[in-house]
Amino acid sequence: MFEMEDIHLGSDICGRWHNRCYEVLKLLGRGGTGSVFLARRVDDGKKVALKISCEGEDLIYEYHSLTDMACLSMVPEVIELDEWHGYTFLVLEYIEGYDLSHYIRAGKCSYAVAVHLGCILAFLMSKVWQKGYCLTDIKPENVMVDTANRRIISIDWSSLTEAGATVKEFTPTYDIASWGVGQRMADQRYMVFAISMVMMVLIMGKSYSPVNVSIDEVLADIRRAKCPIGVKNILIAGLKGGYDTLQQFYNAMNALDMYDQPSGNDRIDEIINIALAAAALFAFLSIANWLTLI
Amino acid sequence: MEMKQILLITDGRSNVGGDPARAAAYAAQNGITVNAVGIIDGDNDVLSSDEIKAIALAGNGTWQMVPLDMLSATMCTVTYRSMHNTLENIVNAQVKKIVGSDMLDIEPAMRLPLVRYVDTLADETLLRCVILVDCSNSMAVKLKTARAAILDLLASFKARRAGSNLAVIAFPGQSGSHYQMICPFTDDVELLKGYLNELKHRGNTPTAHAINAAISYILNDEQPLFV
Repeated sequence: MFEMEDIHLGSDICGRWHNRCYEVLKLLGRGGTGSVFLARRVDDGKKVALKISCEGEDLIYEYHSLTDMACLSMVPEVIELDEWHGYTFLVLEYIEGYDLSHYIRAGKCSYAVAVHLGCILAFLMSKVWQKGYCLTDIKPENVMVDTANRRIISIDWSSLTEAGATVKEFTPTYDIASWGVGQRMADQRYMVFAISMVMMVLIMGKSYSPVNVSIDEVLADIRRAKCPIGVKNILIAGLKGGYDTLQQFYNAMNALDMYDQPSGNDRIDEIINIALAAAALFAFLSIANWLTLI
Repeated sequence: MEMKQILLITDGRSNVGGDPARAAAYAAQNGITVNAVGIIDGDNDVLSSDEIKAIALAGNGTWQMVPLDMLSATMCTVTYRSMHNTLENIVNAQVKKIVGSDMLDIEPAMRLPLVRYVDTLADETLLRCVILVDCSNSMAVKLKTARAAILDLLASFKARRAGSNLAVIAFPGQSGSHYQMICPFTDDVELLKGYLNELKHRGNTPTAHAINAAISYILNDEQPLFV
């Protein structure tokens, strides 16, 4: 049998259905059942992200999720879905930039950036919810800062689940049930918890694992953090399952009076600028939405 | 319909008893799927992933190697994926009989309704799963997490439409035996929690013996005797 490990840099991956070939340039990431590569379309040299997996159904779901959600901004563009040697592969727009975990490794984010990003994610997820879905695997690794086009993108849509269904794909740190705070059900509270934890991780500059830390210890950490009481209260409520809807969570964050100060750290300053630009766009979109323009 | 599974959780190679892949093949012959999750830590040898893979391939199942903190999430995905694959094969055979071509002869982008149908079937199928927990000495520090992960798995099954029963067998067992029944089939999380306190680390890794014990338990519905 052909093995995933046999895909080398320079290998050509050619689709069985659409006959387009892609040359593998670089490994971008490896997961449980598949890998993501940076690849070059042989026809025209366009750079793309190529997700390949031995579990075809996951990519079939993701392909349709991405197509359904394409009307929201912040979703990578889908190019095609095809098969090669029994593997299924999904070709996506290549996004130049870093995911949020890159910024976390660089140090703590200011709480203002965390709140801006939280607002953006809450707004996007409320749109997802309005379409009858829930994105269950929200985590820093899945949120990209597109440095070329100055936007925030949620890159992994394989965890899109129908509202009210069982959550099958999650990461323990961002999973409300692993912390014993709520149920593993695809609802708004589930997403509010995950976004709150992403903000928490950004502010503290470190991740928490439910294997060796309790939720009370996480809450104690945020209480001790140097951060305005308004932000603390929102995070504590989010992590305790205190918001019923994303809208409530979004409104609470939006009501905060946030200002930014340069952190003196280049990587962090970059994210501040992009988050601010994106936040401004979203403020506009939410007003437009409110006026039912879109 | 009922689905029968064995889920092996281990952090090392089998070192006592026969070839675990052969035991897994025997399970597959009897309609039992064998899935395997290997726990990676710093001092693991690379070889153990070969054995995990061989067991899952022989047992018609799926496998994954993961760090300890991803154990719980992985046990969920491996179980769901394996149910999906088993049912997909059945549906595929039926589709082939009716329309003469395979699901795989349909372009992947058009395959969504079939994939959805398989998932709905999976959700409505009764599941009986025996979890085999490696309790050899190297697992000592990991058993607390394994316990939590097993409870978590049963709790997350509550959201399925059809019933789900879990049983737990530890290997090796107490006083020199190869395995030990920890918890008979149950869907009661509290009951399971009580039984799981019996998971204790000791001795070596008789994986094949444990798989055979699970097969006879599933097929005969009687608790295996200590050997």
